[in-house]
Amino acid sequence: MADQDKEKQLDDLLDSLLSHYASAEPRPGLETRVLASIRQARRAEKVRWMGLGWWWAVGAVTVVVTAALIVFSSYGGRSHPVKKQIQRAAQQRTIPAPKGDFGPGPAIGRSVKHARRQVHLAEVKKEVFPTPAPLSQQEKLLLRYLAGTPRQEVQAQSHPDPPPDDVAFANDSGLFSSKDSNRSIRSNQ
Amino acid sequence: MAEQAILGDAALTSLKTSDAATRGQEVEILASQHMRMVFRICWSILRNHHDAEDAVQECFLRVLKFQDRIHEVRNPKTWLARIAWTTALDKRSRKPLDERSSAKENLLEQDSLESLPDPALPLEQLVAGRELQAILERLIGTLPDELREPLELSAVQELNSTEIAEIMKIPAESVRTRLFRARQLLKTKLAVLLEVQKHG
Repeated sequence: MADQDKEKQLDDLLDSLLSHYASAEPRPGLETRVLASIRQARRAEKVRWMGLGWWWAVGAVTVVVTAALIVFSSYGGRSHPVKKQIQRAAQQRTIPAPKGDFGPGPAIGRSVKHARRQVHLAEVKKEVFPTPAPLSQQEKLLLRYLAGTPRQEVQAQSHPDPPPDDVAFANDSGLFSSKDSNRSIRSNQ
Repeated sequence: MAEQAILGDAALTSLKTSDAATRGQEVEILASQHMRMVFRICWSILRNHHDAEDAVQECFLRVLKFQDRIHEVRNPKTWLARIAWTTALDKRSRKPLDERSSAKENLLEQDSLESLPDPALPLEQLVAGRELQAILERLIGTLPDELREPLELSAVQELNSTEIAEIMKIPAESVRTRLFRARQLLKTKLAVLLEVQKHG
């Protein structure tokens, strides 16, 4: 009985002591201090994020500018092969300035102008295939001939010549096959 | 007190549902409403006003840091209490070892025994005496960590054994067992001290 009383007394004592163990109150000013530190941390966080944002923006702009430069340089440096050829041809076709000919402008200016016109024409031409070209000498002669010759003669000229008499006779009599006749014609020619 | 607890719970719930823009303000509200509980948890572990205040501040800064995870929290109150508890434990572990062990070494020194009140005094007077409180603190300090930690948390009035179990991430039954063992040890030691004081 005495032991039980003693046990109970100890229990009560311990309960009372433990209830006081963590019953401390925060000192005045702690709340202000904690709130101030939270606000400061939030501001610092905001500034840090803003700083990071700026760095991201700068990085993104740099990447875009670099990409644009790479694209432009690759297109500018590697000109179109056709264009290159045309430019070369235009340079070659530059009319040399005649000696003693004082035209409306300086010879160099004219040659540059001519080259530019050639390049421009070539650029237009490359859209059409086959590319139209100026008439050759043979074509010009043919046109001249057609223009100055009567129509009947032209028609007569356009028909092929009849084969020689001996070959025609052989064909008619059936002595040669068609292959042989062709061969004989070729040998005659 | 109960009203404050309800307000605190409301703040925790609103913190859970608020968006990122307003969470900073919600943390401030939470700090002002749960300051006492957090302070008591820190105090029960650190037993020093300065250290407890530093731990409270650090605790709420941690809350601010992990505010994005608040929507994953099932019980915001124990979440906050756990942050406070771990912060205080970290702070205590950072303290120099000699500073921590000095309390244990001086526990049963003759000076301490001489300062004990007369056990024949009524309970109220015994408890009111600062000497017995100091002895209890030292006795708790001698307990092993697994018994001391739930006992320190149980001393905080705002927490029950289920919440302590959630904070410590152990079963509630284990908490109750450990509390019982801790109390038995304390009673034994206390009885010995009082007996020594009584007989001379």
